[in-house]
Amino acid sequence: MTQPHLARHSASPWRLVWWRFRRHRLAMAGAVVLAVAYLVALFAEFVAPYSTEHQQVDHGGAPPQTVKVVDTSSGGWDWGLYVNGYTDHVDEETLEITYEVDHEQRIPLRFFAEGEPYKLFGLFETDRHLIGPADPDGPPVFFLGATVNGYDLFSRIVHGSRVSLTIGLVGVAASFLIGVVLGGISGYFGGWVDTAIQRLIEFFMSIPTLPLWLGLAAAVPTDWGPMQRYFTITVILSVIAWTDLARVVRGRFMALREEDFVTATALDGVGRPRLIFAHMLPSFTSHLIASATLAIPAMILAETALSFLGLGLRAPAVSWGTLLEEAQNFATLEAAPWLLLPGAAVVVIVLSFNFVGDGLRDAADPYKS
Amino acid sequence: MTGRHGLTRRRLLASGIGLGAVAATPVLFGCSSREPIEPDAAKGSEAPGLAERVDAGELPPVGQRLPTQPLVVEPVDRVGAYGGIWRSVIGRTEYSYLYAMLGYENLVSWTPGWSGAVGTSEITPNVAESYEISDDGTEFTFRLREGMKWSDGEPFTAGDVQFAVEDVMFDTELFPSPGKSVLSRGNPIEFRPIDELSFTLVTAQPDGLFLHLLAHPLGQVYTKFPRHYLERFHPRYNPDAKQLAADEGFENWVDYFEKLSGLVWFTGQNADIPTLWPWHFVTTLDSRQVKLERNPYYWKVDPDGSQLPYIDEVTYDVLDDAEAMLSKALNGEVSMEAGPDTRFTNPANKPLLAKEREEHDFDFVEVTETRMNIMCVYLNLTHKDPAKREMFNNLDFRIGLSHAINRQDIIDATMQRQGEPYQAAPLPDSAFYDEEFATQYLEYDVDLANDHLDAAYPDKNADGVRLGPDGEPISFVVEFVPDMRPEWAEQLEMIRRFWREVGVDVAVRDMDDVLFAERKDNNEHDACVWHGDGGLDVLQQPKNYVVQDAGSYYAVPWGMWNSTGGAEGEEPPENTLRQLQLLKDISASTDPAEQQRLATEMLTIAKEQFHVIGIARETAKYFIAKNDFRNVPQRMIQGWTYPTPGPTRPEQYYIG
Amino acid sequence: MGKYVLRRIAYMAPTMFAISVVSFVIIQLPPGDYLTQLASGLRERGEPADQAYLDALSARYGLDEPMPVQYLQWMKGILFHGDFGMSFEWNQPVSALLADTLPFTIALTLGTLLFTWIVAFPIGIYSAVRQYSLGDYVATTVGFIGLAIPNFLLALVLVYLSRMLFGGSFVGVFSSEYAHAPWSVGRFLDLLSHLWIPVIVLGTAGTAGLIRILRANLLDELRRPYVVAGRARGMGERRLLIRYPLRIALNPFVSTIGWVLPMLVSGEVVVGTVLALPTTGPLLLGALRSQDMYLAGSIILIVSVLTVIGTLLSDLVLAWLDPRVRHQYR
Repeated sequence: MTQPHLARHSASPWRLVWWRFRRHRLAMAGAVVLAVAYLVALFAEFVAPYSTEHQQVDHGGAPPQTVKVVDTSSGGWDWGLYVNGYTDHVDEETLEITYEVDHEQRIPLRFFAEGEPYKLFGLFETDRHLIGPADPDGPPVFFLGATVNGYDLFSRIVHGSRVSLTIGLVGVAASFLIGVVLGGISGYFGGWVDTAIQRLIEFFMSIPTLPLWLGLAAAVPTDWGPMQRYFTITVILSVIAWTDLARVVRGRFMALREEDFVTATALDGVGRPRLIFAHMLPSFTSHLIASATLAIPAMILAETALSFLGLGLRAPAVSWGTLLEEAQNFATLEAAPWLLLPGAAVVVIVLSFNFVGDGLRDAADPYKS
Repeated sequence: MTGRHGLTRRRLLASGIGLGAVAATPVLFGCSSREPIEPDAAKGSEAPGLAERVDAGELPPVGQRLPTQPLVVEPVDRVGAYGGIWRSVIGRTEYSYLYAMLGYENLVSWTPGWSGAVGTSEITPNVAESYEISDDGTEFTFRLREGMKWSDGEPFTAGDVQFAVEDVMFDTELFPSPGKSVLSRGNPIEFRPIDELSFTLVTAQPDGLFLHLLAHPLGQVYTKFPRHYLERFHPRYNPDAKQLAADEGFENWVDYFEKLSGLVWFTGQNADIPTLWPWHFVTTLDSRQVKLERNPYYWKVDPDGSQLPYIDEVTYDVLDDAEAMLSKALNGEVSMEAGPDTRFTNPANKPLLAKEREEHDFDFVEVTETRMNIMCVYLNLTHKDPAKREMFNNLDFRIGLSHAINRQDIIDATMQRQGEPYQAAPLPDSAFYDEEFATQYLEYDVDLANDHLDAAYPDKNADGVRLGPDGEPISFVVEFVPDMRPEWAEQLEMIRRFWREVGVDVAVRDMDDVLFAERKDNNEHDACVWHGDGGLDVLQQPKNYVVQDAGSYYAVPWGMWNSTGGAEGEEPPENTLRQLQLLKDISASTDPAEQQRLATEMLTIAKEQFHVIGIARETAKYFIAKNDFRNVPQRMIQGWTYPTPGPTRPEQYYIG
Repeated sequence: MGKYVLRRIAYMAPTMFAISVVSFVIIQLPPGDYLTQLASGLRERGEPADQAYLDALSARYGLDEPMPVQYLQWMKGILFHGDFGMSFEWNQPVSALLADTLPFTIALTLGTLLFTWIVAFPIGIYSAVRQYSLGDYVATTVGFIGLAIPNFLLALVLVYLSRMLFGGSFVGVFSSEYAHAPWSVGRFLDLLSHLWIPVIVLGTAGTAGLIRILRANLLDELRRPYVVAGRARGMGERRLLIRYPLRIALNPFVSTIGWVLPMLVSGEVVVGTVLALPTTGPLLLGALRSQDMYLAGSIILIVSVLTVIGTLLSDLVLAWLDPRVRHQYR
């Protein structure tokens, strides 16, 4: 036997999962993307050049600016990051607002630029942003263009990632809990308990999700603040999503019940709860993680769909869903197609989660060849 | 795709449909270089299709179908030609829009160039051949057209109007209490028959605005119920009517009758009902396409004596989504669109439409609105919390808040840079325009705002938020319904920031329309926003100037008090009582000059009170029409009181 | 088998009862009712309704009764008369509205199901047989992209692009000229030209899921001893694949019949709204928004019951195909 093969036999299960996971290149790529995305969400105020309230009313729908590294307009090679400004024009008859790149106007950029002050994590007061215009009082920069109302799209995507990336986590955590508990009980005890829980699952699965959303979202008291509503909607989403997980767990328990080590543990006199949660659950944790990972993107998509239908978060709250909702019309597609970029962010994140989930599942059973 | 969550009946009605022909000058609208097809001089006195049916013996000759004195319609540009299909789009529950487009056939109608003035100068006979008002202003005698017929060829007589008033509108099962369309100053009117073709509507007291009611969309009830057809479904005339309804799967005859007749608002659910409209239904609104064909018995002619309408057929695709409608329009599948901007003719879509207009051969029609504001801000003057009530009632507080709003920024950011800062006041085109009212406290001036707010509540806490009358930091919630107007979200967000600058902390809360209405009815809100109705239709929609009913969201209990005769709600203060009295006096007066004076006094009180904060009025409204869709006025007015395009006489539109 | 069928059918009854209760409760959750909406609508039209009128309407619609009574009356109508009540907003019996929209919804659902299968089947097999190949990555990525793009975005972009590329408006189910025309080849082609967008949009999401399930199941089966044994005996790869593993891996395809309906109705609300389709989804959305309770409740009820029946059918087919499933239910 070769050396790695020997190592495989002595390595811990988690290491084996990791090894197998690493072989799935898309999953690895997805994991990297997700890590970056969550870092951005964590440091949103720092990464974004502007806050969500920074509005430039005379730049509504301005196109993305190209970041340039060197200025050759003056003949020489003038190094340094900059973007060009715009000139705008309104057609009085068609009402079209057009922006042209003004090659004369040069807006220098810098890293750790001075900008609007903020409190990072609510603790450290600072006014530095990862990148921004060198002159905080000068003309604004729009790396990914401006929204119709004149907000910086890049900053909004960054700030919006907070809501959009966490809504899946919170939701899945909640549905995970319900799913694992009910699925575990159902799978372990079997019999009438199983039947009852199976009916419950079947019942939840047969109700179209939309009316549930609508009904529950409308029932949220309107005097609740955006955060309360946000969490409520997350929980609503998870109430609907737990059934899949419960089925997975139940199936696994069914299979495990017959395994020798379970019988052995039971004969040792270990109590049932302990048997379930200390011995059986860990043996398929990796499967659960894989299932959970695959459930997160569904939540992210659900958030955008809810916003689209006007039932989830709504502007001025900033999430990818609300940003997309603003861009959902032909006029925007025609005049400012870059406003669909939050959609690209959704696609990238959802893809990444799917790849990671796929990789995890492939790797979940480390003792398979 | 903000707010395109299906066009509910209510939202479309709320945004209204507007006022008609203003330009009578014979100029071709738009910039089409194509000359209209000169109508064939020998187009004859009826449409070729009808002439064929006459030849085949299916129809009597046109002379027998027209009344002896048909209404002669003066075309907007020129005499047209027969033929063609009017294609457009309509939402499934847009009954009102269907009425405005195709069915504005009241006894009397508004004239083009309407300004909402008092008196009868802007009202013209329509279904009625003539009318006469008694000197005391209580008897309104109408003469109908001899030989005028429903679309099935049955005669239209005073008996039909009598049926409408006595058996429909005053039927206590259909309407447990009579609707506004048959009330005069709160009292039921009386129908007094004279002969086959004449009748008198009698009011209990003199009513200077009764004729206005008949020209209003509410007045449609007098001419929409064909007695010979509907009698069968009314238990008073047919003992088996209830059984008929049950046989059709309806739980009671009222539901069935409503479906067949449309009652006040819901015309378009029944293709069989005879009508006075230029076109009659072939398929109804609940199908995928509502289709109407020319009414062979239509009772209007052009100056040549040719029977109208010119257009053969009306075909509206039923779509529930504004973007889907836009998609049809961009593809040139809409002959003419004159709907509210909750559909698709809003400023944001204009650049896109402009790009397609050459290829798809359509152009823009200028529009002014009957609304005077994109958004009225209401602070609840009757708040349950005494501190908030005191604060909102402080005039300095309201003036300060108004000065703190940068209206130009709001226009630039949310209105495609088109609009004019404007208070909640009558429009320049209105008969009641008052420049001072329209422009007071508009200026964006933070210092001035702070001066006024300091006069009211100078103390601030550590965060710079002013302390209210109870010593607590000022903080309140502004409620709105994003589905009504999606831009409100951003506009309110901007206002929230403007107000924070002057030390007033507000939160903005969106909600669906039902909850919104519920909270208003129960007086549970701090503040809210709504459409600025009443720009031209000042006397028909006075809710932003005077608290008449629960529709004035800044003082719902006062409105309840007034509309329930003091049984519910709360007695309004002196000034409002005076305004209510003035409103009553306007109705009671039959002298236009006197009415004008009273209305001006009522509005002057509104100006001084400054209960409502306005933001801006829209100046870039437009409709679209195909270049070969002729006789559309160059400029139209959009609203609901004035049901555009009805008053511009769609029957004289032609394609060529 | 017979016993199994009976048992499954018996299980359905409580589920259906629960569904009917919940369908009714959901639509009552939001504050206010249809009359609140009607009243404010009337006020907007310049005709404020007085309390007497609203009370009479309330009595006519049965809204003045307590909720359990309303529920019992509704169920009584459905069970004994097949009467789902009246739609307030449409002023039509609910059954008439459903008769108008359900056939098209079902047709769309079946079309989408077919599309999903046709796309998912080859891709799933390919990526299982060639795990971690370039093709596997490409196929999986393409499948997942369909899943990752929000439905409404895809629908809008497709409509927009088709308009740019081919001209035409691509909304609704028929062009104006065919709306009321009798059936003809032209009308059928017109229908197809409008249907491909919703089918693609609705299908893409389900496709990725199926690919993944098929791939995973097939991978599991391919590692089983009997496959190894078959291979050792020198059986051809293709025959080996088709002989047994594929048949087992097909089970999820059968299972989809059950869950595809609620998924599609939910997804279809969004797509149906964007594309202005005369389907149940937008009807349901409108009914929920205007609190048109019998219409909304009936749609939820019918879709849910169809789902339960669909699940039952797919389980029965599964049990018939695969004795092991039957065994589980013993």
